[in-house]
Amino acid sequence: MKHKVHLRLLSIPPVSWIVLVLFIVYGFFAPGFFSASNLWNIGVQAAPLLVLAIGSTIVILTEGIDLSCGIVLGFAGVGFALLVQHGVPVWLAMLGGVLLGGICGLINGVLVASFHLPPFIATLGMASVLTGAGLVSTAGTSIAVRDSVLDFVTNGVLLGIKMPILIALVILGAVLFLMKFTAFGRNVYALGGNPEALRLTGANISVALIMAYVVAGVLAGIAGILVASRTASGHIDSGLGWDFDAIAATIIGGTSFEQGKGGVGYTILGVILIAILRNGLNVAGVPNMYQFALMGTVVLGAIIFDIMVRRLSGTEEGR
Amino acid sequence: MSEVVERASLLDKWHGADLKRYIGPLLRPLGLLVLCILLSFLTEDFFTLKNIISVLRQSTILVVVSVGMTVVILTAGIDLSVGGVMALVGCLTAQLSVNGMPLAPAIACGLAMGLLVGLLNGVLISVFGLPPFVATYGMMWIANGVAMILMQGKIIFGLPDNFLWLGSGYLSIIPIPVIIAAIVAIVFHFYLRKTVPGQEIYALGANREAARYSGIKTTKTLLLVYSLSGLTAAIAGIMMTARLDAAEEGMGEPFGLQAIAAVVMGGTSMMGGEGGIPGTIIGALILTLVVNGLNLMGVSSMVHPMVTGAVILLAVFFDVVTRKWSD
Repeated sequence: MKHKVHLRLLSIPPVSWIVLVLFIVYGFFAPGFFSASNLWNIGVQAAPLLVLAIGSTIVILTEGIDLSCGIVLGFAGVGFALLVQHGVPVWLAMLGGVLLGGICGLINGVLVASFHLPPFIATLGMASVLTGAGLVSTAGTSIAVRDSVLDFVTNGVLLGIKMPILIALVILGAVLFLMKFTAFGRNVYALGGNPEALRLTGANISVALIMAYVVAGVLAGIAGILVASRTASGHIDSGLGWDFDAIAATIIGGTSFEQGKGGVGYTILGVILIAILRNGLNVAGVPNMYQFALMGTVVLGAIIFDIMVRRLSGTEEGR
Repeated sequence: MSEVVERASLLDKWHGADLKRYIGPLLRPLGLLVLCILLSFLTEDFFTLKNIISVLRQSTILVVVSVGMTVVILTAGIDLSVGGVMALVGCLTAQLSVNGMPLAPAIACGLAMGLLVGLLNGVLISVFGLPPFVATYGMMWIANGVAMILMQGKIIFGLPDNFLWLGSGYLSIIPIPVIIAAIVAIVFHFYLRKTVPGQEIYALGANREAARYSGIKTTKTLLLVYSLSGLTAAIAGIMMTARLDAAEEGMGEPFGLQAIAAVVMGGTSMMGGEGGIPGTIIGALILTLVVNGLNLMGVSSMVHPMVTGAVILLAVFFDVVTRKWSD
């Protein structure tokens, strides 16, 4: 009986303990952290990161990595803002931005699957190309967008839930469904776990891999629209550093770089951790300048903590 | 049995690799030459001593970072933190010397900081088993963040004269940065090729398991490799500060990707164990000339990331293709 309890405790991802500790610490040091409005705030801030991190998780499950997703986020936002500026209806422009994200993902996927580039080089190279393209098309400035639709996407309430959170949750549900019940999901897990077996089932490995990057690109595009709506503007740097947050959320959530372990559902824990961290620092009044170093340290620390706990508890066996 | 098979496939590899072995080394200097000739049409007096020295001087910062990056990539690793380290060390040394610290200790502090960040990378990778790009990417944000804290949003100008001499001084007609870069490159080349630890780095990159079984301390070697990369990034950061007579938090940003591009263009394989410093120098020169050429043609600097990105994708693609070809 005692043994069973022990096992069950270990099966909880280590990160949930960190989240718990954070809640307690912030409860003491950041008055107002537990107010309803602040908790809603955390959710709204976390929504684009959750969408982005879901894409990151899918790519990491294939033993890949997407270091371009932060820039793709900004690029989709820029594309959306430019379309609106040129008189395209807002809904259509949003679709355009998401499509742009999908195209970026497609190129990433082709570079990785067809040209056999190491994923981090392919996506890093793409990030550089997109940065240049974004700078050239906006002259490095922020493109302002004004429309009531943006206000609805940012502040609207449907079914008692704020729109960004609702959108992120709907996407989470859709991707969970995709991963569990469709060939896409099975292929993604097989790509990370055993690509040879996947080849033997007759599936086209390249197409499966490209699809994973396309989905990640589309999700980065959606996250880009969410961010552009909130800031009422498109800027190429608006997702700078978000790729690290997304990857960190994935790893902290327990998805491993090897053998297709983990899943999209776990990533939400990592996202909550990062969102709480950022929010808590803001509420506690830590200047933005200090947050980069602090976040990097804490995130790397969380990853190490995660690795150590898994090593010690032996759940890494069979790796 | 499996040993025999392995040896047979190794022999096949040698035959297939003939073409690459004999033409490959010539390809890069040839590319450099073609680029020079192209540029000589674009600009007057390209082939003058003065201009050649000026191009060499422009390339020195990239050469120094890329030398360290070569060592890391030889182990099949990657160091994405070099841009952050350059900024951090540049800002630190500038801040220290503006506040009255003499040159030598200020530079020593900068170099020590670079070594420290590199060592931390090494610990994350070899002790905790983080994938190199995750560990060094995280470290890049930390280094950049600490640089931000050091600068408090300001830019430092007006460094002491002896500091500036490192960036713009001359020894007869040879610029000081060129001398520094040459020393760094030569020392690293001989270290890699002629010493036991250097050869162990190659062995580790070619086959980590085999290296471990033959008694190479892989953890220690990786710690060393990432520390060296931190050190060269620190040297490059100091050179850049001296050259610009200024330090700001974002100054290292483009160099991370450019260094990887230079190394891979120079023929060092991302898979590790193959390549070296001479190729990297040619890669860095080619990249410098490409950027230089764009400037001469009046192309906006906003296009530079696109070019670097395209170059790195092409170079790595070429690496992958020739590898398949020779297999």
